[in-house]
Amino acid sequence: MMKKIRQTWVLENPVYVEAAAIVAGPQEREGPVGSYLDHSFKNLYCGETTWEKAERALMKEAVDRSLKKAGRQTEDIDMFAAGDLLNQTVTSNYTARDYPWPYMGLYSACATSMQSVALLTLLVHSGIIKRGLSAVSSHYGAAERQFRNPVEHVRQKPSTAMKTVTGAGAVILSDSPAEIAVGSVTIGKAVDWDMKDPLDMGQAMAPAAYETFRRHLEDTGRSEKDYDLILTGDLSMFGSRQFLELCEEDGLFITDKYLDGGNTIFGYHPSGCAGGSGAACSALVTYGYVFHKMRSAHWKKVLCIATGALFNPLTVRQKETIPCIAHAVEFIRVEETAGG
Amino acid sequence: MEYLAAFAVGGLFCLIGQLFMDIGRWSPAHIMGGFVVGGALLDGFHLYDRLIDFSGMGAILPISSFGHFLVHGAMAESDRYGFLGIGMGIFEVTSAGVSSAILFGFLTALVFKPRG
Amino acid sequence: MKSEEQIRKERFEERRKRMIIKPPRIKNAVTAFVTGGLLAVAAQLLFNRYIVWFNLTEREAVNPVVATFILGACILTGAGVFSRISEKWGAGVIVPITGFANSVTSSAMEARAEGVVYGIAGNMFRIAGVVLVFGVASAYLVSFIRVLIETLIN
Repeated sequence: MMKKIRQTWVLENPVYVEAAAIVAGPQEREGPVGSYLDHSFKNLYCGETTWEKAERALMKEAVDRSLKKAGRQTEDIDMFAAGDLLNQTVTSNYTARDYPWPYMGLYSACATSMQSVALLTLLVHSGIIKRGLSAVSSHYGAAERQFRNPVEHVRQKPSTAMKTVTGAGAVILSDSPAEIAVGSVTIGKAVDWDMKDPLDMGQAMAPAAYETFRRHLEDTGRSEKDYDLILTGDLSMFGSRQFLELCEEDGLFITDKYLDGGNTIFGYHPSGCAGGSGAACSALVTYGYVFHKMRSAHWKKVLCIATGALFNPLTVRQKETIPCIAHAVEFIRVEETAGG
Repeated sequence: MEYLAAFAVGGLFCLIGQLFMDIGRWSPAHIMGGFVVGGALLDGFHLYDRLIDFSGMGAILPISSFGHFLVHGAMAESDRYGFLGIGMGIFEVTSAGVSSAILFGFLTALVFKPRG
Repeated sequence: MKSEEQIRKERFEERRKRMIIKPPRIKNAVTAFVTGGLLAVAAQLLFNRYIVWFNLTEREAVNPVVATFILGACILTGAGVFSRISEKWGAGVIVPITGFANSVTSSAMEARAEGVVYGIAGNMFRIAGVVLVFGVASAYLVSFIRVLIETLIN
């Protein structure tokens, strides 16, 4: 059975990560995550005619590759949970029609990756399904168009602006043993600290990440020392600093074991932006870089806190503040001796 | 000399725009809107005409001249038709600019895809 | 008595203000000045050439010059160059007519996948509409007042 403590589910029998696949666009390939990519496209269009289609191509590629890596057939998947940043989560919807799976479209902005993992974990753990596939995607051009101005419009962005990651990640969760497992999940609350600037999402999301992190430690009764790595999704340069400061105020010193997806994806000092953002950002770093390091026994226990800014271009223009969310999933490396 | 005047005035307009962007955090849309209104208002006091006499293209190239020319067109027609002339003449002078922007914009959009 | 939550938020806000990296105002201002100035000089050169080449009067030569700059901005936008140079040059290319042409083209281009009617034509003035709306509204007002005064005086 699963233990539920306030916002956290602690799994008694782990749910395993069977396989994960990540694909990305050209700029991500140049970054530190580039060497962990399963596939990368040479340009933003990914061989399609529009950016919306390109994003679909990314997600489909990620889904197919994860199936292949797990050595599974289409029939083996019992549930497909996916999300992206576009209106009505169209990328996921249109990808889902290509597969004969029950499908749930999810949205938590950039935290969708961990939201879908959490949902599938719950379903697999309760025995309702045997194997679920989660996928997320984001695309620079499509997101820019959706949330901001046309891509070719004049721009001179403030230093806090983040760049949407072009890419997609897919992960298969199942009850059959594998090297990496999900240990616990903390579902976050929507947190709003009165930030209004849509070009400074990193700082807006920092409190949400911090709240979820603190809640996770409180609920599980653990300390930050129990983790080898604490990863936030896409707080980027300014947001991650705020996150660390918020943690330090609480006596949590995690600087030496802290990593931020947004800071990692384009390298530490990307030109023209404060880091990466987007649903694919946390997915690429977690499923690629972090899982690789876990498999090579570099890290044993990782807490991944994906963060999302739950705004909409209309609410921003209506001068509303931005509510943010963060979902945390704890991944653990399963030792061979434990029997799995 | 006329080039120097054009450089100074054209540059000054852009400098003011940049200050609005950096200090006031105006978006490009706000800048363009603000400049057009400013140009129309300055023309109300015949100041923009003097600026054009002084610097030629320096004052014509910035978008503020759009506001100025709108007022000019309106005033030219209203000399003949009074209040009715405002509506008749408002686009008289600027129509070449607007129509070429629409035409070239349309053709470009037909040919090119955004690069990102 | 402030709650712990409020103190936390205040400290957060304090840090946020401290961390703001101001745009390099002087550098940006100088760049904009020089770029805008050079564009104006180029326009003036073209203006003088057009008068000679096509035998135009000063009044007639304005429109072809403006149209040339619009065409240039449209092509640069289409080639994906304009947004990149605008990162450096800022208002130097936004304030001149090139900024207007760029807003028209970029909006239209972005929507080309939705077809010619709802896409290109429907979205063309998504941003540039500001110029037309504010231009016409303010010009109407100014002209109206001027005509009113003139009528009253006569």
